[in-house]
Amino acid sequence: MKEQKPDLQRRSLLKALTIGTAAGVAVAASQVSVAQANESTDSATTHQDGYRETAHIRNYYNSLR
Amino acid sequence: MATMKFLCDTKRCIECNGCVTACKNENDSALEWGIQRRRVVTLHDGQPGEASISVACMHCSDAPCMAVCPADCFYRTEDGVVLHNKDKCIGCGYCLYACPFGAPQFPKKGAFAARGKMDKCTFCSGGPEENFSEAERQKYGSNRIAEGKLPMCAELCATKALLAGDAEVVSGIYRERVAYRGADNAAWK
Repeated sequence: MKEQKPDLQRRSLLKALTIGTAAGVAVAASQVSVAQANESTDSATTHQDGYRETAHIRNYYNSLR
Repeated sequence: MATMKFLCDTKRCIECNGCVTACKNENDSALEWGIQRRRVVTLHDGQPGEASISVACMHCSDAPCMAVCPADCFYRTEDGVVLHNKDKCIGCGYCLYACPFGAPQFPKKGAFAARGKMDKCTFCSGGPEENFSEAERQKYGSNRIAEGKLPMCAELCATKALLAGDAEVVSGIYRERVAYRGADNAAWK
């Protein structure tokens, strides 16, 4: 009686599919985190020229006293 | 980190409406017909104890407009100024119902009383557009904070009744005034 051996070629296909999917998910996740980081940076830098106590503002404060 | 605030000294306000005019003039590019971001309210008009207070958006720390907006168009800057994105505004008017100061304003020329994009005081700090851009000027008006200045309404106040700036400095100045003149009927009766 002939012994049945598993066809390893077929399993390598499954292995390749699993690795490919995992790599795809990892790439997508990194892109999302990069996009989120860019978004948060945008919102943080929307007003990079915010309030600072300039000479003009100091003069104004002095005029109030 | 400074937090921007307005404070109106009712003992000094003489209801001249100079702040209203200064605001209209400074932000004219963004204001549609009939909109005024600031107004002066007088209590006990013509009676003893009359007091006037200049009111606009108070840039609340826990802003109710921000909480109720279904389009999530409000945001707070690092300076504590509450601003909104007119591109996101759907003109529902919830912010007007929620605001205890009646600060949100809507264009009055729409057909069938339809509301347009909401407009309100920006503490003269523009909006989400790029600083000093034409889009910012057309939608939100001037950006004096980025210029290193404070809102025009406060800087032009003739009696120095309307104070604006860093909350700690402004409250300190008001405290000095009260210490000097006393706190009898400190705000209004």
